Amino acid sequence: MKIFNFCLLALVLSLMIPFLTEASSAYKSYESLTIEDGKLLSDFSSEDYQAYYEKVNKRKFIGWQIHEVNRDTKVYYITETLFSYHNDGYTAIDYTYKYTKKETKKIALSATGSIGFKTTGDQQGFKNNLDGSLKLSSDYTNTKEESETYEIKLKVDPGTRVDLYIYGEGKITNGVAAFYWGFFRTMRGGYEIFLVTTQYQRLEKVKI
Amino acid sequence: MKKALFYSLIIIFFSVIGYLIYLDQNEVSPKVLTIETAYVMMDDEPTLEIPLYINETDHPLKVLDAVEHVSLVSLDSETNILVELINVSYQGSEFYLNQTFDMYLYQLNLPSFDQTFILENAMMAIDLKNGTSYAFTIGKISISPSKPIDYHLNWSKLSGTKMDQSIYERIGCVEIGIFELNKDIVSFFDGFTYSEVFQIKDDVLYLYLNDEPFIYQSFPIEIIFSDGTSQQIPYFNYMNSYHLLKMSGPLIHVYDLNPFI
Repeated sequence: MKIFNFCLLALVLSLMIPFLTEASSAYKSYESLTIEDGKLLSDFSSEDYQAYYEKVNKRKFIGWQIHEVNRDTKVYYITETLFSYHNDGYTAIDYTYKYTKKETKKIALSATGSIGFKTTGDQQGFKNNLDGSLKLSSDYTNTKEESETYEIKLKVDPGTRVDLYIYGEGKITNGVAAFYWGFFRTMRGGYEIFLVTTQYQRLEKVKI
Repeated sequence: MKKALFYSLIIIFFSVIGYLIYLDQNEVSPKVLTIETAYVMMDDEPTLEIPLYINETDHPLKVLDAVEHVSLVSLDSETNILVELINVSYQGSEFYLNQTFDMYLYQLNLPSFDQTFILENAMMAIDLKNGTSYAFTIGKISISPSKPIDYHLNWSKLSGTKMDQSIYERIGCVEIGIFELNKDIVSFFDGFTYSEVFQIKDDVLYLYLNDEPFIYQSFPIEIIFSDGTSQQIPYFNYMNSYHLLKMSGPLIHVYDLNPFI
């Protein structure tokens, strides 16, 4: 009977763990994101997961087991084209572009497996205080929304298109983690934190 | 009875100690931080935006209606320009030295000038309606008469990079793609100094900027041609740093708003 109860409990707990799911983050939709050395979470293979999960299999009474793969590894990114304007007329145009971006976040989170997110006020984090267990530097604590204003005055010749790109540098910290409660594993998956450090803008005029 | 009194005194003593520790941990002295920045404007865009980093949740410096006057003053007080405050807006926050500082942008409307006006050792003086006055060091300011934006140089690309060896968050090289160049370039003006340190390579004009102890990320540039004429590359925000306080230690001025706490 005891064995039956144990098996039933194990079955219920295993059903509580969702299969591989991925929480998308804004930085994943960038035109390009290149890590200087190592792999992004989205590039972890099933063999990688298998190897990393072995490092977090040691059961504990309560808390996270963490295996860090990359910490503060430099990344280079190109985001979306901020604006594109073309002059298909016959005379040059004096053009003023003004844009206020109000929801820039310098931190983005991503997770796979059963690691989830929580939102407290305007702060986003991982469930069960994974952020705290990762012992991240103070750079990663600020997730408040920021606003940025872009204003550009320029002359656009006939048959010319103007594009404004954003590119820059950031840092990635990622790895795998498993959460144990009463020696039972209740969460397991990959985590990733992307931090923007510097953003550059590039204006290009293209003959069309 | 004596025992009860003794234990009561012990409990009260430790409670008082605990309360004092609690007060000490929660007392945050209100501070304003400014960063030495080079502000360059052409007078067709006379709006100057100056950031103040404030660690107190509610402070009149964060409220437009609480401000009576704003003026730009030189350190020796010989120059004092009263300016119009258009807006005070929250732009974001940064964690610095275990405190969160909210960045508020003071948007100022400046007068026009017939010739280049430079204010070295500039301070922003703020008089509040409650009678309090502050003066914060902000860096240096240059305002020049505007130049044509379309002349001998028809440019195709505009971007800037930080120099690797620079410890400051500032642009070290401006890259300007060339569609067409009808006159030789002899120099350029970055708002404060004329420089001949540039090169043209593969239809790209590289302007190398001096590495000075000022933040320098958004600015116009004046290109000077061999016939004495000049052209303005428009005001452009080349870079944004999301850890400006962390990276600008030597350039930061700390003002304790209530030093007697």
